[in-house]
Order: sequence, then C-alpha cells, then structure tokens
Amino acid sequence: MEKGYLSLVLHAHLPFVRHPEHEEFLEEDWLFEAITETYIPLLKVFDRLLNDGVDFRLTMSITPTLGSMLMDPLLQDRYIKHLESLIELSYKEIERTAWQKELNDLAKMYNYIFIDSREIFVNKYGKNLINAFKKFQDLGKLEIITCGATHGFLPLMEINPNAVRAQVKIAADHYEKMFGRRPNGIWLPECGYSPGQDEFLKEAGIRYFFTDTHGILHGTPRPKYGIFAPVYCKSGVAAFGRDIESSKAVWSSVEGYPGDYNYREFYRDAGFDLDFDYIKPYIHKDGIRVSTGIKYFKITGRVDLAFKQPYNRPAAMEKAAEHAGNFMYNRQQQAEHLYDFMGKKPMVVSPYDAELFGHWWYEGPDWLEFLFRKLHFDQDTVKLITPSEYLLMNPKNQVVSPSFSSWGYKGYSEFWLNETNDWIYRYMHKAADRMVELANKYPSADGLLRRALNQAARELLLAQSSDWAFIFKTGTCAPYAFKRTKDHIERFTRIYDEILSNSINENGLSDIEYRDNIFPEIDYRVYI
Amino acid sequence: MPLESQEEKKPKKKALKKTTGIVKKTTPKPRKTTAPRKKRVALPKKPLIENISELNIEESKYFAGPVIQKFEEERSFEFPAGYGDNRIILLIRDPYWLYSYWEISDGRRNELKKEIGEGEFFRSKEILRVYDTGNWEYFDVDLGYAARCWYVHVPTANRTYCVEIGYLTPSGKFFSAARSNWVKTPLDRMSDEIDEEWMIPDWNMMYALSGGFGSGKSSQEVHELMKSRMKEELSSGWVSSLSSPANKPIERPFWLVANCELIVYGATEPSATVTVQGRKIDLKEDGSFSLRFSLPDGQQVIPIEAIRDDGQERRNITPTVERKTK
Repeated sequence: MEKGYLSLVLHAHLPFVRHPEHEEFLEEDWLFEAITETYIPLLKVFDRLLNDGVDFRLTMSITPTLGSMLMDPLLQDRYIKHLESLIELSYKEIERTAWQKELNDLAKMYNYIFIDSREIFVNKYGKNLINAFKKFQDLGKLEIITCGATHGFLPLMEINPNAVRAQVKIAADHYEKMFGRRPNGIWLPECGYSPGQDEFLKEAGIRYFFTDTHGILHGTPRPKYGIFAPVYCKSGVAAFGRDIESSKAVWSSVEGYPGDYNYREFYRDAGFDLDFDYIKPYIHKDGIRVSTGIKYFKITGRVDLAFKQPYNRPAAMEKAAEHAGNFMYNRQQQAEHLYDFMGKKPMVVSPYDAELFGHWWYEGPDWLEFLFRKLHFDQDTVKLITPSEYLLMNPKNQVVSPSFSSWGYKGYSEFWLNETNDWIYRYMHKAADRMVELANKYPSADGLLRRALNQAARELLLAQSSDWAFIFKTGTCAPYAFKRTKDHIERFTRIYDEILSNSINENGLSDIEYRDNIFPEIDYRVYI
Repeated sequence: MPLESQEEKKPKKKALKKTTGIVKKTTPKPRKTTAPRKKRVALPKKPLIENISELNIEESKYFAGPVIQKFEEERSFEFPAGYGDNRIILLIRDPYWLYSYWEISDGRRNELKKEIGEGEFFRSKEILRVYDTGNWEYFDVDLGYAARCWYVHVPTANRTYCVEIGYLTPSGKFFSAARSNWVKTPLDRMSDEIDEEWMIPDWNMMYALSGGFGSGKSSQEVHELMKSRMKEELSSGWVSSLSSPANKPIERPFWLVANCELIVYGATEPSATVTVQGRKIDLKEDGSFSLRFSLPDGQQVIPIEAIRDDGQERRNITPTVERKTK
C-alpha cells in the first residue's frame, strides 16, 4: 500500500510567435526546436510506456498560445520544412564525420531522430500534436490543464479585474475547443497568484491551480499539512503547493541532475561550430548562425566550450537511469517520513517547465521514462496521481487563503517588475482599460465593428504575454520583445482610435487579423 | 478580491479627512523619508534596443501574403509620454517593495497651481505620500524632478498601502493630485492565525519539511532559509536559452578554436562506379564528386577507385594525409 502521492507537472509554453509576413523568422525556431526536442520525445515516451503496459500519470499544461501554434497550418508546414533541412544536414554529417566514430554514431542518431520525428509528426499525428496529447488524456494517463490565454502575469494585471477574467475565460474556452471538455486545472502563468484570482478561476469552471511553496505556507490560516495537501480557497477552488526538494533535484543549476558531466552540452552546436560555407544553407538565411540541434559534446566539466569531450549516448543513458533511481528513492524516503509525521498520505507536487525536458536537459524525457518504469515495477511506496484524482479521493481539505506568490526569482513579482521592464505596465493597463471601455460602449456590435473589437482584444492579449517582460529581464533577444510589445500596443491603439472615430480601415484590419490570428473565436464581450 | 473594490468601500473624501486628522496628533511611525529606496528617476524611456536596424531589415522583406499592406510596419509609432490622464497606480513587487507609476494631467496641475498659488507652487516639492491604510500613518518620498514612477520600500509586510502623488509646499502643506488603488503586501512568514480544527503540535517542523530544510531548525532559521530559497533560480530562467541565436553561456577570455576538414574531390566518367575507402559514393551528373571529412589527428589512407560501367576497366588513386596538432 502506498505511503504517499507524487504529482509530476510539466508546464509547456511558448509565446505566440508566427510571422506569415516573413518567409523565414528566427524566433519561430523556438517552436520547432521544442517540437523536435521536447514534445515529440515526450509523446514517444508515452507511447512506449503504453505499449509496455506501464501505468503512469502526468499533469501537463499546454498554454493556449502553444496550442494555437501547434494547430496552425502555416507553422506546421514550416516545421516540416525545418525538419527536411535538418534531415539533409544530418546526411551530410554522417559523411563528414566518417573518420571519427564517436561523432559519426551521433550523426547517425540525429539522422534517425529527425526522420522519425517527421514520421511521427506527419504520418502518425497528421501534423497536429494536439491530437497526440489529447489521445493520452483520453486514455487517462495524462491530465492536460490550461494556463492564462497568452501567459499574462496575472498579479500585475489585476488593477483591471476584467483583464484577469479575460485571460482565464479565453484560455478555458480555447482549451475546450482543443480537447473537447472543460479544463479541471490551470497552471497560473509563472505560478503567479494573488488573493482573489481564484474567483475568476471558479467562474471559468476551473477546480484547482498551483502556487509556489510559500503561496501555501504563508497562507492564512496556517495550513496544517504545509504543502503536502491541497487547500481550498474561500471560493472552493483548490490550491496545490510546489515541493521544494523535488524541484531542486531537477531545477537547480548547482545540485540538479541536468548539470551532470555526462549529459549533453547545450551550447556546443553544429550551427555555431562548423565552417560557415558548409553550414550556411542550414542556418538563418541572412547568415546568422543558429542552433541546429546537432550537438556532439557532453558537459564534460567546468571547462571552456572549446575543451568539451564527445557526447557518449550510452553513458548518458546510464546516468539518466541512475538519476531516476535517485529521484525515486528520495520520494520514497520523503513519503515515508511525511506519512509518519502527518498521519496521512502526503501529496508531493513537482512542477517543471516542459521544455526543460529534452530541449535544455537533453536526457530529460529518458529520465522521465526511467522514472515512470521504476515507479511502476520496482516499488509501491509512492503512487503517481493527478490533482483531479487526488481531490476526488480527498474531498475534505482545509480552507486557507494562499498568499501572493510566484515561482520567479525571489518569489514575487520582481522578475517581471524591475528596471528593465517596469515601463510596459503603463501601456498594458491603459490598453486594458480602453478595451473595457470599448466593450461597454459597444456591447452588441456586429459586422466590421465586431471584427475590430475582437481584434483589439487579441492585440491586448498578445501584448500581455509575460514572455516579453521576461525577455527584457534576461536580456537575450530584447529587440524582439520590444518589437512585439510595440507592435501589439500600436495595433491596439490604432484599432481603438479607429473605432471611436468611426473610421475602421477594413484593409488595415484584415492585415492585422492575418498576422495575429490567435483565438479565431474570441468574443470581445468577455471584457464587459 | 479585486483591489479596486476595496477602495470603493472607503469614500475618498472621508479617507482624506481621516488622514490629515491622524497626522496632526501622532508622530507617524513609518515616516522615513530616508527609507532605503531604489532611486529611480524615470525619464522617458529609451528603447532597450541598439540594433533596431536589424528588425527593419527583416521587416523590409515582404512576401505577398493575402492582404499584406506595407503601411502597417512603416507607420511609425512611439509609446506616448502620457495619455492626458490624471491617475496613479500602485503595484506589489514583494512584501517590502511597491512600485508606483503616475501621470498628472495638465488640468489637474493647473488646478493645484491655482489652489496653492503660483509662487508657492513652484517652490513646492513633488512627493509621493505612502499610507498604511490600517492606521493612516504615512511617510513621504521626495521625487526630485520629472520622475514618472518609483519603487517604494515599505517597512512592514502584510499591510495594505496606498499612495498619493502631490505637492508639498514649503510651509508643509500637502496637496494631492491623485490617489492610487490599495494593495495588500503578502506575508513573508507563517500566518499567526490558526484554525482550531486544523491544529498540529509542531508548526515549525511542518514549515521546515515543506521548505525541504530538514528537521531541528528554529523558526528564525527556517524563515531565513525560506528567504534564501526564494532567491535560488528554480524556474524558467533557462528559457532565455530558447533564443538560440544569441546564446552566450560563459564569459570567455581571449580564445581560439581551430579544426581541420579535408575535401576529397575529383571526376570520372558519369556512368562509372566510384568508391572511396571502400564505400560507394554518388557522382554528380557530370561525373564529378566532392567529399568533405572532418579530419582527426593521425594518418588517413584514402583509396579512391573508379570502375567503368562495363566493369572492364578500373583506375586507382590513393592519397595519404596526416594531421598532427600541436
């Protein structure tokens, strides 16, 4: 009989990056890399587990922006083109590395992976990976949850409650369109919670969300079971707190598994390493070197990139299995200890970014597979569970108001509110107020006016993505984040002015609709 | 609960009156004009971009989509300096820091100028008055010149604050231009409130276990551990790496990398069969071939053989290459 539960949560998210106006667009690679390195590998893991009769449970958020991109025909076709190019490169690499067996084995591995990815993407799932994830949800192995419509950081938005409501409601509706049922749970963008948000979740029919550890621990009144049992907000929506021990094991750059010297080095990539003339057809067409995903080296140690040693796949697999065993052992210890202390079965919630698995930590999906297999075959102390299953079995929980919190640096808003990005909120808030103003002024628009109002809502939502503030802070590709913030505020403002002056330019509107085509079924009246 | 509704509960006028009343009779405790603060004179924002020209280059490359119109990207748009509004907004950064931005409309400024008297107005200081709405004690932040936003350090966690932007005259009278929304800062430790139905003997232990700090720590210790824990980056910081073109992992000192590749090329009859190191290779239509090898240290013997399509004739060339890296 089990002593405790483990709920693994993967948060899959990418901002909406889709530029039909350009033939090729650098930042669209974010999606393509994540498909090849994270989403398809995860699906392969699920399929193998299914075939081998390994029962598993995983909770996964697929954000509305990511879901929209995965279902978008333009991006689907661009991904196939991207893969074709990689397949061609990998053939050349097999030839080029013929005199170095270590590298040659890897070139063959990449060639196989790219070809297999094409097979899975095109033939197995008809270019639409949402179908693939849905399949595992329908089988009861995967619980897919939603997120903010465009991953807006809600605590910095709530000055206009309608803006928060819209992020939640549009997300839940979009989820229903993708998966044919309402979402049970939500991953709040950046785990950002502030008291009162649960009311909007409740309105949208959402039953639970997650907070960072201190969100529950610093809740009022004191949570009897700490983070090892969910609590109910006064609204009746449940909140699950993040477990730190298991988070650290994977997240920490110091103690975490992904830093093991045997694992693949992220920063050494053929796109940067190889002779320019040779690699030119496979990088950005303006000659900007980019990652290709063909990486030959392991982390090796704390050495300069130039001194990295060749990656040894079997050795890395050994490590992944060892780390999975270590993770399981620690969860067993934790469960037994907590069970004695609490007098009931603890719930341990371990959330991670999905793209951490595979894209950053190349062996992440393998680790996950080893972990699922070990948990299934080797023990019965810890049982995998989804939050929905837990609530069904444990309907009685303490009522606690969680505290304002996020999983960002220092635990609150600072990552999204600092010298690099604080200037955006003036414009975000104004746009949200204007959207509410428009919606109330034209509560039953149709025709062109309705289209304009709906597009205004899309522009507002896209501007609100926390990714832009995030990128300003990290510094990498700030120009793109700036462009996006500016584009969406500009487009919003233009539509706003045109609506109020009763001079909607239909051509201009069509152009914006064509560019920012997210949420085709949006209804601006959510802002009333 | 939406913060605005809290504000609505308290009629502004009354609140203001109460404020001034309290100020007269008490020496406000948190009146630290010298409160440690991050000084931030926010001048109109310079875009954070240096190489915006890159974007322009990209944007100039249109392809004919269904309704593409060039005017859309060419129209220049700057973020407005203001909207002509008169308002101030307060946001929470963490239990001890708030962020406020504001805009005072010309109309409101003129009104105040009239009310204060022009001479007095120009000698006034623009300040942020920060209220603890629990007791209406306050402290002032001197904003200097032309600030549009400010980070405010507040002394106590788990309190409700609001701020006013306004003018402090030399005679010490305060004229408010706008008042903000209310915000409640989060607790930075366990709540003091305990629900009798949900009691446990050792809260400290539960806190330590939840924080993954192990047992046997004092409440002060676990509190400190939690604070330092939150500074660890245990979330999406790595996502910056998604922006693959710009990834620079480690600051390197001066550096050099060099590698060798070998190109083996040649030509024969297009119909011939060619093997290189025993492996059959594809010829181009004109019978030429070109192979590229990463060349490791050591000796490579490269037998190249061409066999005529009728199998009756063959030619052999065997270069030998040696790489030695010092």
